[in-house]
Amino acid sequence: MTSGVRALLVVAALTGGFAPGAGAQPAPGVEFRLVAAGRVRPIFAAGVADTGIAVGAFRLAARPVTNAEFLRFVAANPAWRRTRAPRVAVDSSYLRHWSGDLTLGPNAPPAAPVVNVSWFAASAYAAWAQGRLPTTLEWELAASRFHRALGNDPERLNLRVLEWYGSATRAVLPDAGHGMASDDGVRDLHGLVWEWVEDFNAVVTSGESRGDSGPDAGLFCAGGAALAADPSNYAAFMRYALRGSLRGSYTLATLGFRVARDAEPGKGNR
Amino acid sequence: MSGSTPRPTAWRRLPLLAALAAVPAYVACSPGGEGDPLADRPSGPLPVETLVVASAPAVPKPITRRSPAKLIVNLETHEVRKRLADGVEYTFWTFGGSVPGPMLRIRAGDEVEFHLNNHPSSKMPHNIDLHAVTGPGGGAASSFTAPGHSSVFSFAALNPGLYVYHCATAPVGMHIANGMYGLILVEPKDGLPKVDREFYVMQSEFYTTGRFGQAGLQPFSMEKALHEDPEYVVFNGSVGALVGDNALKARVGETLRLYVGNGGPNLVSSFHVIGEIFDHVYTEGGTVANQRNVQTTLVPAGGSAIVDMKLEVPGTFILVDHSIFRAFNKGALGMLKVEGADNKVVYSGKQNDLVYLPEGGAVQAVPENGAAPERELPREELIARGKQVFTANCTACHQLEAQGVPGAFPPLAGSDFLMANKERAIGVVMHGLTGEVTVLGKKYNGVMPMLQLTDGDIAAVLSYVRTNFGNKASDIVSLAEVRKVRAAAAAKPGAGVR
Repeated sequence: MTSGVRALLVVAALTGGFAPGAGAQPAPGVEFRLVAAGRVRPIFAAGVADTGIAVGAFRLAARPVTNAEFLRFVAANPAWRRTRAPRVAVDSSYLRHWSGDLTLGPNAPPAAPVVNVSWFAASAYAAWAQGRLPTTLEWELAASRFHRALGNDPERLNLRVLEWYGSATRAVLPDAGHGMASDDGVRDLHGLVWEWVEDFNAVVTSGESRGDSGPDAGLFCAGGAALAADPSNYAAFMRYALRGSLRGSYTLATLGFRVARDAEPGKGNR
Repeated sequence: MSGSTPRPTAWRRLPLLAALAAVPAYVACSPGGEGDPLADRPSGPLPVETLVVASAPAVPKPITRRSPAKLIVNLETHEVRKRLADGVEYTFWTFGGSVPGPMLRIRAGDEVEFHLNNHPSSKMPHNIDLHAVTGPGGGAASSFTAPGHSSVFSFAALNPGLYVYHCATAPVGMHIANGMYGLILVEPKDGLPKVDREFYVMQSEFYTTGRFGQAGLQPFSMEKALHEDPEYVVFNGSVGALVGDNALKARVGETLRLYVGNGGPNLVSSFHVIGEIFDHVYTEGGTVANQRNVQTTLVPAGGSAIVDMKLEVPGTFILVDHSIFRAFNKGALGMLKVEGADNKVVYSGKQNDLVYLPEGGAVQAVPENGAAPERELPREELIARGKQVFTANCTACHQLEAQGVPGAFPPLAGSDFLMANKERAIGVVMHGLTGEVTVLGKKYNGVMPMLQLTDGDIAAVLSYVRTNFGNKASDIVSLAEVRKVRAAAAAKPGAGVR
């Protein structure tokens, strides 16, 4: 992660650090929902009890960050504009669905989720918006609660998620905030875009998926992961595989993010 | 080994020693039995070529080079919505935009610089495991690629043969089930025996939530995949990909080679060409034509076979997975259309079409072999047998209580039509009945089929019906009476019906 560390320093210099800087402002229009504490059983869960890992309560934006919101961020932080962002922090397809540095254009409806953003850019936005990215466990916890929408049936959730993963990508994304709501009132967790998490590279799938479920997976997996907890949870496999294929500077046409906050200042899951 | 295993005696060790002595010879000629595959590399850099690939069913041209090269391969992973069957669409995950992916053809000893490019619109990261690669994951460990990115790795082709390549990203089954596979042929250094025509055929199966043929965009069914119960088993990625205008085409007199792969993900193929015999089979895609005169060859999931055949006669030859319900009901069917002159010695075509009459002109029920000759039965026995015949043959229309169905099937219960004429009744059961009849004052105009009952059955069932359901016949119907009606009908065709 040498290049990652270097990028972090560059990014920190550009934005005045990850703490809310001079241009910082709350993101109006986004509600934050309290996600109640719970337990998460990661798909790669060697050494984790069957009951999973405890995750404390936290707050999560009710929907992903939109193009319009990200436009305000880059307007306030010129260093994150498309032509100025450092190549160590974003790859060459950063914000490529926008028409220009400060122009959204026909492929980026204002209310659609912003995509083609790197982990560094997403993290910088989250700090500017007085929050942070959710952790993997936080995100997985929030994204597992659909009892109200789907009945107490993890299979139905799994199928619904698989349906999205198995469908082709749309050229122009629909607006954020209209997807299925979780029990905590968080929308669009499934079926709109993939989402960055703060520790996306903490659990690594090597790309050699058959090895990941074998005994030598520990060689690849920084998170100490080995045997898959539930080999039939294809949806979770795919999320972990995607995260494992990423680097901090990568930007994808299907990858956005949302902002999280601690439930109370100083009492977070991190 | 457990501690209780007996120690081998000295004589038992001898074969082991012999085997050990043979090892150096084996090593010297491995892999591929052709010596060191990298032995003929020049001291300087290899000539560089961009590899030309082919889309199924086309096969890249045979390699004429007789020295190694460095080949640049560009392969794109792309998630596309396409036709799976008429009216049925599926979101395929592909190599090169189609299923199967393109066929690659290289030569043993070549060096390949492989670029795997994941299209920016992909939802998934992908990688590639080429079974032709010697190394971790067959390349998968080095080619894990996020959407909109590109990975590069290099390998040397050590072993000649016909190999499957596929995506191995988690969950690997779903990546294969969605269409991510193809074939790479590594030619032996001296090439394969020359043939006139070559095709690339790859079998695979699809697991859709909807039943076979159910219209619309069909999502992947994980449940059916886990149960290995596909809705579709197809050649070259869709139902009908090798049928009609898309059939494989060849000429009489040509030698034909099929490079057959099986992407799976689950099923093993019993590959067969109806009306042809494989003159040579390179079983499991190896480089030795180790079997001759084969009707059906197994193609393992994640494996291949090479089959050669001489085309002697024209016609349409059907490619199937001879696990035959897959061909008939799930799509595993292709066509090879061979044009050219007939060879009437090899295959005459239909020479005549004759009427086949086993026993003269009349249709007769032939007693089964070993059945006892029929005889007159005592009244009780006759009526008991009649009840069985009635239940088995008559109740579907005339109903359990012989009450019939108003407007459709006339009643037998209390039937004036039945009781009025015994000979007519025998004739109706024997030959069936067509046209209008009046039963208990109601008109019926339908068809009663000829039931192919034996004369004994006819006697029994009429005896039963005429003495039950309110019918009050005092006499039974004898076998002799039935035989008399049949004899009269044979002498005078048309008699007995009405």
